[in-house]
Amino acid sequence: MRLRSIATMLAVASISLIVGIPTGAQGMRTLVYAQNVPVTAMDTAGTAIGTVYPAGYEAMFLVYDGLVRFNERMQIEPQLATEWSVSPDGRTWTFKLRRGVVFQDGTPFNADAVVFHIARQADPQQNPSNRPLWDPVSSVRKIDEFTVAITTREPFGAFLNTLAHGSGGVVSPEAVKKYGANFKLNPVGTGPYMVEKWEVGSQLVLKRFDRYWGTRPAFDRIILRNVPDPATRIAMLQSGQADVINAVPPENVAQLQGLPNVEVIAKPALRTFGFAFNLNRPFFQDVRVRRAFNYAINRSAIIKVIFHGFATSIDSPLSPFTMGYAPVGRYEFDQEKARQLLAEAGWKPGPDGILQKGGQAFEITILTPQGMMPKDVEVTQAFQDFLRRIGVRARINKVEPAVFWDYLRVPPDKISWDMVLFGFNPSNADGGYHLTSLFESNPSHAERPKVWNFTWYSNPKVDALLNQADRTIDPSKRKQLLVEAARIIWNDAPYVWLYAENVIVAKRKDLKNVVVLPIIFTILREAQP
Amino acid sequence: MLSLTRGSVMYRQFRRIARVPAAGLGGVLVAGFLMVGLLAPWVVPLDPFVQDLSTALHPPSPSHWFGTDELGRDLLSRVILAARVDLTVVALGIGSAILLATPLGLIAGYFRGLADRLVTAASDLMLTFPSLVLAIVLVSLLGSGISSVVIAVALTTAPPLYRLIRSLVLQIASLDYVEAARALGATHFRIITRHIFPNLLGRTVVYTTLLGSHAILSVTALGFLGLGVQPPTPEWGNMLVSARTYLGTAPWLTVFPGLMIILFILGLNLFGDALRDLLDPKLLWRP
Repeated sequence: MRLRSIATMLAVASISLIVGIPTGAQGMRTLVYAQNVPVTAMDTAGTAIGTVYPAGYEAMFLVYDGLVRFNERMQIEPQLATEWSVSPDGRTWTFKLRRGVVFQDGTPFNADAVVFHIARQADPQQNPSNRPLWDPVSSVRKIDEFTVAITTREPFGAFLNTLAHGSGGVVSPEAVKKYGANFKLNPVGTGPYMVEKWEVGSQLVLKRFDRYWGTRPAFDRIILRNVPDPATRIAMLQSGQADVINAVPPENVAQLQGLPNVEVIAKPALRTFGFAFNLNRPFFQDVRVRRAFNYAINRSAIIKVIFHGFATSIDSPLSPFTMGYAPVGRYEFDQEKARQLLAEAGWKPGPDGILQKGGQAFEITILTPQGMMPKDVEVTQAFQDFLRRIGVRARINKVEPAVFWDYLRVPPDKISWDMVLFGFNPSNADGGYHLTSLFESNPSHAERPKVWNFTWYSNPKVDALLNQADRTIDPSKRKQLLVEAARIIWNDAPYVWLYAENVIVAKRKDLKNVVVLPIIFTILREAQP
Repeated sequence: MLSLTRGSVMYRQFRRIARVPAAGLGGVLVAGFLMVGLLAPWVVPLDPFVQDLSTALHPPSPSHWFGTDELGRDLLSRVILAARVDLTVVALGIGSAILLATPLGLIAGYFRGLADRLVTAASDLMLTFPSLVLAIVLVSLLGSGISSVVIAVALTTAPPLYRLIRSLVLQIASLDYVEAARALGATHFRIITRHIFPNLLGRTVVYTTLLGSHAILSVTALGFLGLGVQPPTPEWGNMLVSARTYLGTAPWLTVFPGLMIILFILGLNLFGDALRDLLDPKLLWRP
């Protein structure tokens, strides 16, 4: 204990040397949020590499408002739009806009601003990022000063999710014209806080926007500070130098929960993980083998031991908070059943205990990045040991996060792995987006996967259901279609399904209204001291 | 030549040094690590790869002397196997460096000329990079794995070794007895192998021992950065990186691999100092 407090003191001392203790004016109410990654750009139409996840969007959710927003349970609520309706053919959405709203540069918010914003987001030249969310939009027009109509090419079931997504924040048209390419460093929205000072990469200082349309923001200032090391973030919270910290490692939660003035918020995130099969390998084309692997692994032990309970075992390819989720099945830990299924598929133990079929030993390579996904290397080693117990010899290939994607985004004959650890986060909270990205058939075997279907899973029934769901506006019908698709995928088992990670944020106990969204964003706009 | 028969000069030297506690400690540590490394598969108390998630993160106890890691594996067994891995990489790396640097140093120092200028320039170029940065670049280019780390250690250790050997050759080649041998018509090959090489051996061996401690730091640093061996093979550096987040809750995960690195380097340095005293000709004739 003493050692730890000395370590904490040293850490705190070094932080104060590095970042300097905030010495705000007397009576100023300042909120400090220590983030694991820096805010690098704040244009909602940024390039994919311009915005660092999640810090960039967390900052944008303070500066911008969308037409609609996600609440804590990932349901859609009005924001700059007060009400909306859909035409009978499901292609045209009409929004009534909020009156009396101004941008932070004084530009009035009205239908012209929304038309400018939607057209800008839908244009791939101006907005190269988040294309699956914006490609369906075909046109936007002004009906009157506070009414706009947006048309999609096909009925687009997840359109409100696109508008609630971080890229749906409405920008000031005047500011975009004024700053051009530098708008990403000079963001202007209608949100409760505006940029005061920005040392890109280290900290972003936001101040209250006095003409904000909603309830008066409680803080004079919000400082978003980049602190990559988790131990330093924790020390900052303990010493009062930060009020909120994100990305708390699961093994540190118990330590924080023991502190009297700290509160930990943990909830299932939308990112679900699994070991993906390379379905081009002959031995993985037998569904019995894939199901056997699913029975071989003890998820609850992994969650309990490696994640200290802070992960959620999944019963669908989708996380519980994703739209379109319903439980579709379970693979309970049962190694006997796994052995039996493998035996049915022709795999019998050889003299060395390794399974054999037709003289070939069951040996595979599992690819994992190191330090990119929570506990990636640990989970992969645990999986390797579970496979060893059913007679499968797995070799781990651990690679640098920077090159990891290059192993996945290749044509099927260039794949060098048999299984790979992967997690997908549907950032618009939509199950259709999640399932389509991972499981819709790829157009050509000669090219890279279209999105993230690097297992090369292909099932015409699933394709048809996903396609139909995409065009369905009615939420309950859409959900039915997605659940049906999820059930087929679950039983086809192109993955060894694992868990949904938990998003873990810690804050000062007396700080109120900090909203943690399952899409890993911490929303501070309504925070109160 | 070196002779340890009773009553010889070397024997007296050896006794003299062995009486210095630090030197004795160094020798014992190095010998201990070498033994553990060589015999690792037979001396590990438990299988270092077998996991038991139900006993993860247990503190040191009679059944697990060093405790268990985050996957319930026996830490003592993993530290021992890691010694074998780390020592192998260091030995192969330093060995390759010697094989590379010795002939180059002999040729460059003895013949001088263009070959000398080229090789020295190349070695100077490599010395301008901090050795760890160079090692990281090499491993990133070659892909992670034991063989890349060995190559990285060899290529970062070879330049200083080459410089030492070359300077010793320059020094020795100008001594009278080498001149005499040349005057008697000895071939270059004979002069190098019989008159120069044996005389630079002592200082080279001492220097190599000290380079060993740099090498182990490079290897564990690469492991710490995720560029070393593949899991689940243990290695002190990669054990430290996975243990780092448990510093507050399971300190034994960091303490034991860290202690091994410290003890091994301490042993090598004490041993190297002792060896220098033993092999330094200037000290050799002191009573």
